[in-house]
Amino acid sequence: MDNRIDVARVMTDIRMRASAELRERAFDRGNTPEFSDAELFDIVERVLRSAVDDSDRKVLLLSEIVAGNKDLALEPSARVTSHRPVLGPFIVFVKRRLLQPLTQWLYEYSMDNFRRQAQINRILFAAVQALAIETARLRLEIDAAHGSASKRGSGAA
Amino acid sequence: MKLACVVQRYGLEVVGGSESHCRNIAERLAAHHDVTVLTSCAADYLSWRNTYPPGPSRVGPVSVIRFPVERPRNTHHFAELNNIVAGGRATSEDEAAWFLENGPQVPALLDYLNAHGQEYDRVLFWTYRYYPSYFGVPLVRDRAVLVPTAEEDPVIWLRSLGEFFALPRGYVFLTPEEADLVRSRANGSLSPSCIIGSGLDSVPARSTEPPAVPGVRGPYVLYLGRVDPNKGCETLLRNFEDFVAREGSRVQLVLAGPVFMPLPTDPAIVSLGFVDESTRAQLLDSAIALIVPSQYESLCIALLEGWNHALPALVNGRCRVLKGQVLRANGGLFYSNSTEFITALRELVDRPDMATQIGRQGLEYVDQHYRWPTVMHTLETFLAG
Repeated sequence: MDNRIDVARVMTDIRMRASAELRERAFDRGNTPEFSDAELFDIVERVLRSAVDDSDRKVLLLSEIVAGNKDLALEPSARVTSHRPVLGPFIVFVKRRLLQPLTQWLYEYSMDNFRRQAQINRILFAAVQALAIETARLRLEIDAAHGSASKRGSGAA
Repeated sequence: MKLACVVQRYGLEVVGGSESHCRNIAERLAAHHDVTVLTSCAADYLSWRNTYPPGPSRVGPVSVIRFPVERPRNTHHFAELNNIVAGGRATSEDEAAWFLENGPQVPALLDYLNAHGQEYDRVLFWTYRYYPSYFGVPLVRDRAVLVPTAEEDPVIWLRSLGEFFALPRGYVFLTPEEADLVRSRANGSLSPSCIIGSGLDSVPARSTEPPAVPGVRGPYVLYLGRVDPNKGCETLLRNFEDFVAREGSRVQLVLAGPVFMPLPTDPAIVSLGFVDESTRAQLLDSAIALIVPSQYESLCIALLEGWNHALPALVNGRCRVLKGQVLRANGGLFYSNSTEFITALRELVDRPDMATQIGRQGLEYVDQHYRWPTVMHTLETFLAG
């Protein structure tokens, strides 16, 4: 008898159960009454999950749109420079060799958090993009429905 | 054939995924070909300090030529460049500086490739990210075969790699997911390639005796390798603590590997530090499952090792390579968040028959694809083409 196990099938079951558990938590304790509707929850979860799953690989429209804006750019690296033409090299030397080693612990702590923040931003941008696509699709469908309704209306007249 | 293998470090004492892969392949190729390894004098991958004497030597069946590292890595400058790269804001100058500072800087190796590269039928390069490969491939591109060991980390998105990946004459990949990743990054179509993974020798049948290891008391799941946030261990610990909070401490998590992060003082979490080969085999034999939480992998040897011991796996489903391997092998489950981790682990713990069968399927997969004769046959056929 072939007792092979199809992992994809097991995973579908696991994901369904995990998702049901998540919905229960979000509905019962999360104060989100909308999630009493299992179908609605499934759609929301699917949209958010697909946004998060591929966020590393996507070119994200929102981050491209704000790309030129320096005020909105996370600049985690501390480029050590000086604008002073004569004293500049000395200042850079002092910053690099004396100040940076002293503040290394703070730098590493901040860097770690910058990295996490950058990743969260990426996921949020991906989620916003997924929602914008959903909205645009719905708008197109509504416009098309209006278009055919008005055609029907003018045909009847 | 006369073959050269270029790698950043080489030696019996050198531990590292791509370095071990290179040595395993070079030693087996040397049985039928004239093989020379071209490498640096460094043993440590953080500083690249010269450790081995320069010049020709022999390591087992392989001739080795070592070249001195001109300048050790400036770790502070490298950390800065890493942050720029991780932020996705690297200019082309930053990218060039990153590859230079990543090292090991061995200009004499490049001079050697310039002068003697044409004497070899094929020049195999391990790992695209290091100086010898990044600056060496363009010098012998008509005979260069790249083993990129590429992962989905921030470096793979560097713009200069589009051109670089179009250079080699051929590619040797470790998994289909790695091939897809590099193909998606290359400018134009990719050169011919083969997928070999890595080879394993078979081990004696799984013993059911509990391991005589201090701290390991009852049923346990196993993590093998460096205990490091970069390997996904922070998330693993958090997920496991969630599991214990909901299910009680009916399973231990055993961490077998050197520790590079603070660990919680929970009796359900046992850290053994570095373990020898026999303890490692004992642990693999009697665990419930092997957990692989890493997000970045080009091939996970620990996963194959687990399957070699018929051990089912529980892997991070956000890593395409791990998820792909598990689905192809039907050899484990995967998760992408804490709730899925808990549900999947519960499944493996509560359904031992299913877990055992999944482990067996993993072993069958290794038998079919990852035995040395199979791996070397695929590689030799490709190199001869």
